[in-house]
Amino acid sequence: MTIQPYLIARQRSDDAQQEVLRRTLQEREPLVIVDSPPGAGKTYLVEAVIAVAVQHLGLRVAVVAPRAEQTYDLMRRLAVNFDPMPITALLSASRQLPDDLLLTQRILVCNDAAALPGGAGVTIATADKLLFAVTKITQSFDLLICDEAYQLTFATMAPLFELAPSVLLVGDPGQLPPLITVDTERFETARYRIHWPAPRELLRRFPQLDVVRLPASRRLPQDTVNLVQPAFYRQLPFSSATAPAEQRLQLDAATQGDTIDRALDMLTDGATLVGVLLPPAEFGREQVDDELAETMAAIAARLLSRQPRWEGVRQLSAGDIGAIDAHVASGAAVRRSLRLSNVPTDACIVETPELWQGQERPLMVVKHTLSGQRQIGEFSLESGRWCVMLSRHQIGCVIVGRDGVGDALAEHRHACGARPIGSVDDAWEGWRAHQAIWGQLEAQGRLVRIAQG
Amino acid sequence: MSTMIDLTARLLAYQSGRAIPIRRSSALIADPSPTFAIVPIRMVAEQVVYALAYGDPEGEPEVVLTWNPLDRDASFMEPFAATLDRYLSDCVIAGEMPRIWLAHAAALEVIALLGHRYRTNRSVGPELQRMGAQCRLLAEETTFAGQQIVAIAGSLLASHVATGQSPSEDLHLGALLAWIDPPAGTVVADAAAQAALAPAAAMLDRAADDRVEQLRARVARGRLREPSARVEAEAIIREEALREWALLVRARRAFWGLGLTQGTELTKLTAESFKRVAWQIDRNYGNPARPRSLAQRLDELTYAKELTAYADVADDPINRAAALNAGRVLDAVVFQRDQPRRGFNPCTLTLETRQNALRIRPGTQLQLRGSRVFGRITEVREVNAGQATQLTLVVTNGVRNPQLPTPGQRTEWMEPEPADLRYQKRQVYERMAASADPRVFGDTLPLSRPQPIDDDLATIARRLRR
Repeated sequence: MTIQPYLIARQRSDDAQQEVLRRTLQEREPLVIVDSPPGAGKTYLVEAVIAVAVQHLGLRVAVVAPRAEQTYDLMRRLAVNFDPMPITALLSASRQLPDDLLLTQRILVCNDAAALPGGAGVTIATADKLLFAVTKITQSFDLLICDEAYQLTFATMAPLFELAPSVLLVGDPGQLPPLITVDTERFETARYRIHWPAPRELLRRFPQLDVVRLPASRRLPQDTVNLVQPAFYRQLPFSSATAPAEQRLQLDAATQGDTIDRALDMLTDGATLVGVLLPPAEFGREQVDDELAETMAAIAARLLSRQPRWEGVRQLSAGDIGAIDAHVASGAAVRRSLRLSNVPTDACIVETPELWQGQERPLMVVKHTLSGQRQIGEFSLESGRWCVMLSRHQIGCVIVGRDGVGDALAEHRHACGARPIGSVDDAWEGWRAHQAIWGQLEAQGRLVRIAQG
Repeated sequence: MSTMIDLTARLLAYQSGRAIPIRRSSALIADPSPTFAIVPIRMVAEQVVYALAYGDPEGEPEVVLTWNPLDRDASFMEPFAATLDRYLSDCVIAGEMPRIWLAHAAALEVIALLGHRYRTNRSVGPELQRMGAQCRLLAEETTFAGQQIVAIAGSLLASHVATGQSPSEDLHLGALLAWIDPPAGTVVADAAAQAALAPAAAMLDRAADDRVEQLRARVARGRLREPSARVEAEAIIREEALREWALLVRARRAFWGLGLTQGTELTKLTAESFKRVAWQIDRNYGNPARPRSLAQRLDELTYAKELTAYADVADDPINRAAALNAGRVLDAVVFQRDQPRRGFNPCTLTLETRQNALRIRPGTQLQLRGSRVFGRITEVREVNAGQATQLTLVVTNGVRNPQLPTPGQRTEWMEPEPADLRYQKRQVYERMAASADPRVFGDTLPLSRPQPIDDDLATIARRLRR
């Protein structure tokens, strides 16, 4: 009997979790780095390590994440998924826990690091909050965990290391790097790359470190993995841990037979990444392409009008569809168009990739970052941004753009000037990833074109 | 500035036949007294300096030069080194901001070159090493957004006016000046093209360069009596240095002649700039290399950028309009004010806007422009079938402030001045350095500390989960 690939992926996923638990809690290695593809269950893994450390071994654990919302999400999950354990939220005095967390009455809020309770338990904070608390913490931790570690610089993480003899860093190496607003070229030649994502700098300095690679995505269908993995995760092979039958889209209402329906029908036929292209037109980077915004809204509206169903799971509604636009102004145009199409924008969320990190929806509509550009800039080529946009969906994703992306990629002249030795050429990596995705979409006939007029 | 706005401004300038301002306020605080200017002239295609003209830009410059910089005798620069050192030291001792004017980015490159070449060069004396350190310090300072010490005339003009030519043509200071002050009776584009024929790049004019090269070669071959060749070569170099000096003086006057206002936030940028330079001079021009100093430098650069962005929006109405367009500024009418006890917390404002682009989400902190009223957005919702957006803002500072807006009042909100957390961070980095954790500083990792735990932790994890 042949074992289904997704079952093997699940087994390998469990093995990886076991390895993390062993190396972190039994071997007590000083540094464990876990590389994770999108939707691999990073937070699930972090929860498991916290629960075993605190509830079974009686350890004192600190957990950091880049954003407050990420820490709230972790608190929520610990409160819901496990028996009560001592959870402390280290917050600045000007912040309040969300009401739902306050209502659980399971979380102790602490504004002063000097007053953190001693003994076993978990303290959760943003990395910045814990950073400023370092000088006040009197009792060290047994274990420091960092979730979404690739979103934090080495400069932010390094001062936290002294808080615990064991550090576990979990993150997705393919997504957006930490936000740094200044030119960092001068730092590229320094002995310490303090501006790099913390795991990347640690791996540069300690190349012998054995990284745990999570081998499976529980979110992305295998069809998407086949496109996304070679483009964005060449060092991180993974497969889908979901059965094809578990992630099928059904559209109950009849088709109108136009281009948009052809794209949606491709989704129901099992293609999970498809493209809808408008006739070529050129737009400046900040210029709003209203016709494209209307098309994105029309796709969302058509999905809803065709009564979408997650086969075997549930009927889908506006809240199950998300939209991503890398620019705030053109995102606002998509929102306007959605409202005109009677799609509620408080349910169907339109946001930038930065805000979509860590979130998922069954269906996504995304604007191609190179749409309408003849000359491609570094912002549009950033591979992490494109990776986030193509890895939020559970069932299917429709990419919307202007035709001509392939030509723009082919004509792009890469700046081949001098670069510091050892620096990563992000623009080149981005171009390569874009080329890989576009080439596959084109070659596999996943692009449908709306005729002029 | 966005590409579209820049393009539109250039078209308007082209149409009107002269440069048009793209800011109403200056990004540079008024010159202190005394002010210093440096005009370097380098050898074409070589990393060596022919001449330096320097001094008060309102007066006659001193010129030091060499007819043969390839002999690597740098002692001709010693008078310059002494004057620069005196100027910077006097300013720092007096607690006054120094101001060094340069003509263009090419001049800055030469200053950076002097820094690299002489800062640690053991073949020159301490005066020139100090000059190298000071030049490096000046070049470093230009990497900080909003710095006020080094005024690069060409860059300043280009960031305050739009011309009817391309940005790359603006890089020629002579051509840029032709658009700002078009000569009467000529087409401005022709005047700019004519001006661009003379180099504005810290080097000799083509003919002058050819002649000096010729003279150098002939002296080297012994065909000319050395004194006359030297005299002629030196006269050419001096004349070229004075030509660039005149260009710098004209550019500086043109900048101050724009008649821009001085924004209130400039004083903060000035204080920052002065602190950085004084601190470096105090510490003998250190170079960050360790995690602590590198992290501090990154913090400094980031803070400077945030503070400059804040000052640009707070001080300048044109920048503010662009920020509004991009959704970084909120133009809203106060729909409701909930403050049960006047002058006391809690105080919540409901703001309503019809802006299309908004970069505001729950958690965003805002400041009422021109006041000390601050708040945090707690809710963003669409109203009137998506025609408007209402935002709930909890006032966190300024509940007693007379500028606290009332219902019906139109208000402008912007990102607040960035918090200066560098002192706290410095303490954290000091602690990090003291702990000397090998994961931060070492080349090898500390050993693992295995624990005698025989349990199957994966099974336990599953069991613990509800």
